[in-house]
Amino acid sequence: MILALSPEGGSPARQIHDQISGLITTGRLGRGERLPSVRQLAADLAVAPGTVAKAYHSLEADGLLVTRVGSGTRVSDDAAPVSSAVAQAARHLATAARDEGLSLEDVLRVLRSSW
Amino acid sequence: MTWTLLWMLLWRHLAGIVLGALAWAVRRRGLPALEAGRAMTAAAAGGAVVLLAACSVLGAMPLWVEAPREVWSAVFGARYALPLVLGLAALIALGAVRPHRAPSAGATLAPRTWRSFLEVRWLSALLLTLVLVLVLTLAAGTASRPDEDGEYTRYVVHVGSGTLGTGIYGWHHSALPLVLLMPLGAATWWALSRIARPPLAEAEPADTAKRRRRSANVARVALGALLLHLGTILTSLANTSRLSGTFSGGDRGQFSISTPFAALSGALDVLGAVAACAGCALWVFTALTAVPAPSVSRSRRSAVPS
Repeated sequence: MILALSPEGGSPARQIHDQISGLITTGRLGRGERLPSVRQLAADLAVAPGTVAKAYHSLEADGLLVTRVGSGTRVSDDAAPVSSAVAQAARHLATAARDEGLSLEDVLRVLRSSW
Repeated sequence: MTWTLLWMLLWRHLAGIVLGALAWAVRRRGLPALEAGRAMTAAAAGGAVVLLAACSVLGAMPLWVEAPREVWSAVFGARYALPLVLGLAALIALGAVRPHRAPSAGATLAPRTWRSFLEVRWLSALLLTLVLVLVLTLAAGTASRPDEDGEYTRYVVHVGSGTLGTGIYGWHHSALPLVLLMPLGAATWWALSRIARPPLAEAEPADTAKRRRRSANVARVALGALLLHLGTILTSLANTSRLSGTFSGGDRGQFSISTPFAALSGALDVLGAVAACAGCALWVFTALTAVPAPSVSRSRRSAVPS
């Protein structure tokens, strides 16, 4: 999953908040899944660490993220509709299917037959 | 005589060089090309092998060069710490490499740590070798006794009212290497962190493969240093185990005394040689990863009949 900032998208902290929030509510980020540190995400996005910290704090205030000393920042157990195992399995399936040139309908057919 | 002596001093290094080169030649086709810091990698790892071999020869220089006893004693005593010092220098060189930053599509939401691009087998090998080094160092240090200068370098066997003694890898020799293990570990962590820290490039699989390759090189250099150090400890303990003496028991005839671990002498020699060869081979392999992979166009041209 890639987080990207655009100059026209509003404040960087708001964009980070909205993108992570969207990934959590759509199940692409699972319960308990660990997010990168403030420092790593800030370096990757070329923004100030305070910007990422602000986004993380607002996500915590919304109940979507939880930060614990020693275990970093994770998706809250109450926030995501799926577990991190299911979210990771879905990502692996999507990557493998794209690599083989399958369409979404093909993948859904495989999923239904495996259910 | 000189050639024989050189062979005795260098055969482990030569065997390690051959082993490392063979391993690289066999695996070369399956390995992605090392792009960042090629010259630094070759210089750091290759230079460490050369210096190690040179210092082995230096230990025999008293045969040809006159110098104060203290000088040669210091040179000979440095053999335990030297692999760790050379490994530390090589790790700093590898960690200092700054690859060209490819364009990034954004930020990935997966945390990247010093272990992110390091395979578990390397971490396991490093930890296992470190534990072996610490256990042997502790055992030898506990068995050591003070010599006439008060330094813990002696291993003694009590024979009635007297003693039989020889040198051992005691606390005097192991103090510096024990201290050096900490910066070696810190340098390994630092170099791996430097590899993981920059954002992933747009071509993520290729970037990930390059980082795995560089992390493996860092692990090889650290593991090589530990194995070479382990080799010196095992060889030293093998020499200690060979302590023996024959005494007259009066009417009862003669009797022999040896160390409690004399039976391990052969095994210690072999394991010491294996560890030293393996450590050298890892450094040689790392240096050779800097050799560019054969170009596809050249191999296609050679396949076309003239």
